[in-house]
Amino acid sequence: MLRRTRRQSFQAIENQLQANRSRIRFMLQLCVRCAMCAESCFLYRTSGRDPRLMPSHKMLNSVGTLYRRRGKASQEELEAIRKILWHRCVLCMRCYCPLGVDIPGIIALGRSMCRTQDLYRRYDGSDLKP
Amino acid sequence: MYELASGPLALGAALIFLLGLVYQTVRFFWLTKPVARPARTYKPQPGSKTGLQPSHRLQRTAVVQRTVLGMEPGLVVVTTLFHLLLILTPLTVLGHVLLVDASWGIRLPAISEATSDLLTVLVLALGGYLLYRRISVAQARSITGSVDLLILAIVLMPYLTGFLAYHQWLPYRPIIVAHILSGELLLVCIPFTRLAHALFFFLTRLCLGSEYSFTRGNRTWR
Repeated sequence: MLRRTRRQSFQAIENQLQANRSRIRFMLQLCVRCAMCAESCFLYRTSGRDPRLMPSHKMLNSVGTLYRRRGKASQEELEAIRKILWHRCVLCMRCYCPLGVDIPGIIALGRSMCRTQDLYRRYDGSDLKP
Repeated sequence: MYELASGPLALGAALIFLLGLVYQTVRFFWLTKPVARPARTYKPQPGSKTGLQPSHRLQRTAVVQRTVLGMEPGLVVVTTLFHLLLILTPLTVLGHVLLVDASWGIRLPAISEATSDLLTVLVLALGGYLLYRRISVAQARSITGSVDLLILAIVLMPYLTGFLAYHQWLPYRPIIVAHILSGELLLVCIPFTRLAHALFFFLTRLCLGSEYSFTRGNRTWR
């Protein structure tokens, strides 16, 4: 079986970051951290208004983190990002940003990056066990 | 120092501000692409038996309700007022109007000094509220970094120093120099920090059809 090395895996994320660098940088600059997107997320509204479920929080702590670290995140950080991207967002695309930040687009991009590390939602529920 | 701040530095700041806005506008159009304009109105299917065909008004109400205006109307009023005063107050202050007239011969409308003073206090109070919100509201605090607090300080500094210079509670000369320098710093920061939303707000709201825009925008993100 062909197994990729850690270096090659990072390279896959770095390539995606590089290809979308202008877009990610623009969105991170466009987000003014006003938290006005919070109420537009149904998961946020139905889960005790946990700030971690705000669309902007999810974007900044997933793709934002990967961008700041230039793709070099630890396994634990990647796992945390995976949980944000799949367990705290269903990509319903209903989130509203007063400034027009393309939050679903960035979340989808983050999922694409995670898939290069074989990180995604396990539909057998095995990823929900502690 | 006053001559330097009000001469070459002011010119440099204005140039950086204008060129920065041009750069960001080009950047926005480079990151978006044209798409077909969406249809103007909702057209119910002919022969529908439900009897629930929404009127235009109902449709408009539904759209507004799922935007921030429908969800947090109080905050929208506060932030809109803050941003309007942020732009209008310096443009209508008598001292600024006289300087513009003396420099370029352009006569802008001015308001009384007492009114300007009141508007400045209002800007500082609303800015103080936004600072309070950043610190006290868990949602805003969870994504606020030191840069956000610094940017808010950069925004409010010209208003605070202008207020102090007008009342002359502190030595006038250093305060007015600080007022000019802080204003120039704000101008330089606008295109290259998160303050660029002053420009992007209008570009995204007017051009993008995909982001609950004010108009039927004919562009979308690439």
